Amino acid sequence: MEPKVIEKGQIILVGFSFYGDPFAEYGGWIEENEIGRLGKRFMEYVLKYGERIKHMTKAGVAYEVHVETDETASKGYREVFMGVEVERLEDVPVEMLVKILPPATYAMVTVKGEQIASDWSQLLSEWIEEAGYESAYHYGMQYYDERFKGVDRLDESEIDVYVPIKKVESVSSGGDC
Amino acid sequence: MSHPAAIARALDFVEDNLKAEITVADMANAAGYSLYHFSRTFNGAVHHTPYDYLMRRRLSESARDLVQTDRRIIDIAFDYGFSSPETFSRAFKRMFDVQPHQWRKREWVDERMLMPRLTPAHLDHINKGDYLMPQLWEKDGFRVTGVMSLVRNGRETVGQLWQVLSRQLEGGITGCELGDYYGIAWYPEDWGERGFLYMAAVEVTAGNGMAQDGHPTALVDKTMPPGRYARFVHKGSRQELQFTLDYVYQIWLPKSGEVLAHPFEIECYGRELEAARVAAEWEVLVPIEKE
Repeated sequence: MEPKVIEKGQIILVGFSFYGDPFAEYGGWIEENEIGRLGKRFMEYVLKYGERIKHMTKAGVAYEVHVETDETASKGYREVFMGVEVERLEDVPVEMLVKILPPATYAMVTVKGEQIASDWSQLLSEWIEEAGYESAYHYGMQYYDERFKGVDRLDESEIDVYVPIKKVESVSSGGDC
Repeated sequence: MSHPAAIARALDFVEDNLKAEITVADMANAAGYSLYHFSRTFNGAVHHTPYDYLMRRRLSESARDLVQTDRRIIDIAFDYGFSSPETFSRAFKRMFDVQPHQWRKREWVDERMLMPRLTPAHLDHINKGDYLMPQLWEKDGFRVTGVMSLVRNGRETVGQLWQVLSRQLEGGITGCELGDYYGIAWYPEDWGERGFLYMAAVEVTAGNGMAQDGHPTALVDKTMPPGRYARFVHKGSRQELQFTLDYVYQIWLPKSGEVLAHPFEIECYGRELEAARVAAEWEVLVPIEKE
């Protein structure tokens, strides 16, 4: 795993969201879990009503953002937000939600084929720690574009994974008090 | 993808910490996975969320303590990490449909109602079959004749009952047509202590009643009620049947929107009695009704 460190400005997303344990019914990378359902709801919306989404920066791509809360560690609950990037918050269809991600430094890695279903999250966390970084915000995101062929074709697919990071602040050794 | 060893570590960790303050993140650490990957994998293997499993194990042990110890309800609540008796009562009612003080009045614990400690053998078993989606089935009432006994300490008696039935039927039954073979298990309230009732039986599809010449006197007759059943296919030995039943009662049933309609389950073996003795796969019917 060779992650890169990337700077990104504020990202404005419009889309749909789920909160809870997304794998409550089914685990794995299949469509019948809540992330799969969310993705399906999002894709169907975009296909049918795509013209309602104004100021889209790029068509045919999607962000899947996982936001952690206090209940993530205790119960495994998380918010999963699936959306597209827009340039500005105007004319947002009322049925869509908005997610604004702050400007941030990210550890980014591309995961391919079998890796997608593996524990890349753990490997990325280990890399972040070894590189002298720590998590900067309680979220992470996955970026899907034309390289993602669908959950039934993971073998041929690629996604980019982003985790916001910051340098670990060096702890002063004290002594001046 | 299945990762039995990692999930087994998380299951062990839960057992070691039923009375400690642990989180799903701690379970993921025990497995050696990131929280995200752990959630995905655990649900795939266990068919409960990690948090649900933890709560169900805690509530099940607390349910046992309520009946088997004199500890105060409030102390039992705190024992298992509930922040108040009210939180405990709410969670308890969600799982058992009664309040802790009502449950306490029971003399017996019905083990089928408790989430058992899941083992790697359970996970193997869950993996083996397609238990996720049983067929739901309306079945007419039917008449059976057979032999019945209390079964205690494992299921050895069950095999013996089938041998007895086999001998009883050697000459056939005059005036009756025989249908499918069924093993029927009834659970009286005190079955955990006294054992359950098992009947090795055959359906009687025609005839003018049982009490006539040619009916072997050792046989008893039963009429099974019509009703809705969830039909599972058990794959494995008779000893492994417990894994299927644990799945049915503690993984499938709580999420099905159904409740048990009667305290029995039916094993179906088809037209050959020999199948009941040697089969490695048979149907299990569980009587259900809408919640």
